[in-house]
Amino acid sequence: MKLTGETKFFIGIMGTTVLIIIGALMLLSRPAKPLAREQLIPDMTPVRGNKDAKVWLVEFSDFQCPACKAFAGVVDALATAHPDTLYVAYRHFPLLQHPISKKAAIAAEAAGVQGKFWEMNKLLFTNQNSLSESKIIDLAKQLNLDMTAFASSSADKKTEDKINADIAYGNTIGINATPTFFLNGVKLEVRTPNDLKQKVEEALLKL
Amino acid sequence: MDKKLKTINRIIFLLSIAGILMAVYVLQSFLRNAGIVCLTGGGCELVRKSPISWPFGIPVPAFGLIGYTGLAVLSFLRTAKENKNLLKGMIGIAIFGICFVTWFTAMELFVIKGTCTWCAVSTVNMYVVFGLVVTSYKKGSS
Repeated sequence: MKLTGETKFFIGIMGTTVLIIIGALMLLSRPAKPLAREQLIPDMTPVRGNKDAKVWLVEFSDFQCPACKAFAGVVDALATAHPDTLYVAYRHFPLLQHPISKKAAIAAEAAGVQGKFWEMNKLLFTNQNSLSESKIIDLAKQLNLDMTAFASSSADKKTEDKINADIAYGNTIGINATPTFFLNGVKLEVRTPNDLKQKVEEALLKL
Repeated sequence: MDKKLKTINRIIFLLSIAGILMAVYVLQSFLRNAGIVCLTGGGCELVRKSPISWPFGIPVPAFGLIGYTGLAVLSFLRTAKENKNLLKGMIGIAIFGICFVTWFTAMELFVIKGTCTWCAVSTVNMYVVFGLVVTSYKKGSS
């Protein structure tokens, strides 16, 4: 094949492209540095399990996200099965396309003020398909919450600020989908709830 | 090849290289099950996790990678020797390309209900490449 000036120009571009691809793949395949526990689980984050546990799982979730609902059962089962060895934290990441998810997050936090975050969490996911403002009130009543205090906590700007802080932090660490899990500070790439169960159980077995 | 055809061939080549780079980035995220940087919020993740993005068990960006590589190779070969068959090959790939990106865009909009920035850019890219290949073919014939 005759190497014209044009051919050489194309070869140069192809060579540069190959180098860029190799460099980028090397960069992307480097293991991510784990995030610090105190960053991922700041004070006031809803948690369950043993706070001294060596295995800790943080979930960024959205009450209107169907995948989050699918994972919620496994997270609950793991936390129930390993109360002494696993520490679970929930952080809010309501997505803009879900109109009621931020209100649901506020309701969960308001229930949390009365010590019923996880109960509300479960109810919100169970009733995901019918969530509305009135449904959220019904769920709060089902939990026998003090409705005056619930309304007051829900309206408190600090509650919404807390959720906004979770979203802002999630954005800084590159979260762009829900649910996103961090196991011992390392972001998990899991496709199914069973993948999550496996990863957590593997970490627990290493103890 | 005259100057205008040469310029068009260069543009096709560069757009194909851009397509290869996008396809490699998205393909690695499909294969490693890693997140994708996305300008459309969670759209890329929705698309990545949808079974529709794996036709015949093959990740969608692999089709893009093969198509754009074919276009880049053929446009490269045209720099050494003008051959109508090379252009015919490019037209064949580009026609398959636009059919594929159109089908996938429809799937994103109406079935997956999420759009991926990279897919959208690649769709526009493939349409431009198709237009340029057709222009090149017409100019070469006249």
